Amino acid sequence: MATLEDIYKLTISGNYKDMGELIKNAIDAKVHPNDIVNKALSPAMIEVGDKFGSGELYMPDMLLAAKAMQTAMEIIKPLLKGDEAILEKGTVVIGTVKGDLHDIGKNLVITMAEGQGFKVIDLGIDVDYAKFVDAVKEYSPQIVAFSGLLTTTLANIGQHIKALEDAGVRDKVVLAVGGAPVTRDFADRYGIEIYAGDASGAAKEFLKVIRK
Amino acid sequence: MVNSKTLEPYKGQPYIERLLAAFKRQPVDRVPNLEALYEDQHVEKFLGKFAGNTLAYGGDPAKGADAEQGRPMYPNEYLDLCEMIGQDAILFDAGIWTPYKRKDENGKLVPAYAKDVKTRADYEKLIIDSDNQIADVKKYLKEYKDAIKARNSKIGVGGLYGCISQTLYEFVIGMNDFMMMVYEDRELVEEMLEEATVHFVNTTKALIEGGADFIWPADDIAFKTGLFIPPKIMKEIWVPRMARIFEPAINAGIPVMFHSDGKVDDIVEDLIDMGLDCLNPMDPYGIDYGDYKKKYGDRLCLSGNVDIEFPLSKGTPEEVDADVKKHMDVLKPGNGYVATVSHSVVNYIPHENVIAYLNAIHKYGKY
Repeated sequence: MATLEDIYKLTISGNYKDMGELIKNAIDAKVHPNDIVNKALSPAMIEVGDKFGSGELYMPDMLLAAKAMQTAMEIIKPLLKGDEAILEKGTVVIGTVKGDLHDIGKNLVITMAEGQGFKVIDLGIDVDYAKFVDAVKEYSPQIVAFSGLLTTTLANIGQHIKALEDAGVRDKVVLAVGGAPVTRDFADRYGIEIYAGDASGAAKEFLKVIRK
Repeated sequence: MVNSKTLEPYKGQPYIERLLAAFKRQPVDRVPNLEALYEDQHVEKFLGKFAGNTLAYGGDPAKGADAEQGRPMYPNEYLDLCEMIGQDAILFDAGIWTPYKRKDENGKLVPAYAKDVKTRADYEKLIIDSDNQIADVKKYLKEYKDAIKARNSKIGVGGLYGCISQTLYEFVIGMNDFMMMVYEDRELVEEMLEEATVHFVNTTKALIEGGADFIWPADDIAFKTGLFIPPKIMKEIWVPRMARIFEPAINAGIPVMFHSDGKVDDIVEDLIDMGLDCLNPMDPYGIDYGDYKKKYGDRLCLSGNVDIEFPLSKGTPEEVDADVKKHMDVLKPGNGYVATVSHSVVNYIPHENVIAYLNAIHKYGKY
């Protein structure tokens, strides 16, 4: 019989190929899908993120773990028959700031946030001010996350925030920022609520927002 | 008051022997300055006319510039620049982005930049027209050598090339798919690495035969927390291949410089074993240069680390000056230091800070 611990271990090992059968076994054994997500998949992704941050795991490990989780979710979601929302922690709109083409960090944050059950709207790279505003209006996210590698382009965050303010949506969302040169001080300077030094930390901060 | 308006005279003319001695950690009269790239606006401000960036006249074709204009900077303009900024060598693009090409709808070979290779069948559509690419390397190297000779200059030439893994994740396959492919279809990854390696080994040979003074392979294999791929796998699939790219130079006694962004701690000893002379750029977001000087300063020439974000982009000329001095205080003693920024001299760095940076190197770099 498949246990939550088996699912947890399989997620960490990134074995997405065997995940489908394991999840089906667990469901057959009356394990609740919510428990699969909250007691196996999400904690496993937290552990993967932590180990990635500490250098114990590497990019392929993290990406395959995320793929294992996605495989599991593809089976679990249809079983919830209209209750899929209980699995969604919230919505994050994310993009690389205007002028910046670097997306490795952003993509890792997406992987970790999705691993924690967030619906992530990826606006891509070099995102225009208006595109963030439009996405907030369309998806009503709890969190808007900016990513950037260059301090010069990160300075465009002021304009991004002004665009959100002008559209009257700044107060409807919690803002986050990350990228190699970003610091807590930088975030504070722009009144940005969330700063994290790595992708795993960002996902944990997103969870705190939802739990408030 | 730091002079950020005009370049101040530096000690000694640009002279390749200075750079080569620094690579070998031998005494020099001053710390050499050498950059992988000056972007076009700085070049234009220095020279008073448009001359492209130092790797490509028409800009980087990997980032949208017209590939036909992607030839290296014209020799006399590059030599003028080197003389102004006191740089001992020209560094030219000997194949820095991707060697892979594919045929377009008209049958013309175009660079493969679309990150759309996901299977063996996709890969089999790619071509490395190695003979053509190496013919270009030989042609441009000869252009530079001829111009140096005609001017009776002592400036040298090196080639920048060899990103065997970066080309796969940045241009050919895409980052996430490449990383998973390393675990899931290692045979295919190794085949692709091998094809690029064979091409770049031949590039090294062509550079050596053509009289290059040093080689500069570059391949971004890490980010700020460490290698992208587990060190054990890197030592199996990447180290032996990069060693082969170095090998013709090492056998010929030609210095080797290597560049990777990020925290490369797990691979430095391998690079030393491979015969590396100079490690660049000691990424400030992952590497403590004082720590590297202590650990590797008696075995490697070290290069880089002056952060293009702060102080170069966001600091004042005084902060640039102070940061260069700080680096000199730690990295200059005992020789084996080449002053370089943390990545490249990009257009968004204020030009006055570039001037302050160069003046500080020449002021504090004297032995």
